[in-house]
Amino acid sequence: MAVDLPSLPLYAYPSLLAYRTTLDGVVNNTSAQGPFWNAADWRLRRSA
Amino acid sequence: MVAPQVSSVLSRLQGRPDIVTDWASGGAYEHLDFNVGGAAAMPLLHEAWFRRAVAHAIDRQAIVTAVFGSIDPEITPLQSLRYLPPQWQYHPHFAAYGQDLAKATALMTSHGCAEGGDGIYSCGGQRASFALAYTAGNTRRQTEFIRMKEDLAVAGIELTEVALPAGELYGQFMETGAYDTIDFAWATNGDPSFGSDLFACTGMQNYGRYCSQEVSDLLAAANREFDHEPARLSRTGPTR
Repeated sequence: MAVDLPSLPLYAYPSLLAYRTTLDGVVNNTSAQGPFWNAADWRLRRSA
Repeated sequence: MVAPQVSSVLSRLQGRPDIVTDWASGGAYEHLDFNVGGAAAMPLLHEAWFRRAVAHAIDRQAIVTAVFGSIDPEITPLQSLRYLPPQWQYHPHFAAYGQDLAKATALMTSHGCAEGGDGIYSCGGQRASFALAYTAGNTRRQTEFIRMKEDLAVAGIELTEVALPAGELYGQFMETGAYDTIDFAWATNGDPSFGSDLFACTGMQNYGRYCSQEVSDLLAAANREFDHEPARLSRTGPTR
């Protein structure tokens, strides 16, 4: 397909993630499910 | 949580002590989709040599740096239409299309194209001018359009803008092949079967009417193969 060039790839989308330091268990996921794939395992720490 | 993905927001959050930031290569890719077989397309887009001239005119590294360089200064263009860099099957087949204005010019002139008074080539009476469609209001894609327009103008190819609401762009406009090119994203599933719908002659989402029987047969074979190694396809040739 690179010879025929039906499309020109530009870039893979970065899977971006930002969350508060009080949230534990967040793990990035590059699939279509995104960062919520393990939301059931997240835990919110109480502030000191 | 930053979702959907907004790179400018993430870059502003980086360095804050109460925020964790992270990024990884995702599961979708941006691409320039050529209408290679549709009757509505500018006729030169039906020619592989013209598409190669377009590819050599565009500085894809500058584009990806402009849109995601604030997140990762080392980010590089994608060089495959089927696999993404984290996958072991990934091979940079499209790395051959780095920006090279000499190659772009040679492709145009060797096919009888002559430069007009405004610097735009004409090939057999057909002006080397085509439109790029993208979703209206998407500033990242607007940036991509502007950079491609500037790059192509230097190579004697004119790029015009068609910014449409998503519902219109991804509806009848795309599905009926009423376009020259579209800048949009495909979400991949990571499986070797990815691409059958997009690039096989009878693919349901093959809106650009690309048709190579050899590629169709390889995609069909990959779709029936459970073992990932033979299903990878790239073993069948360095450019497939």
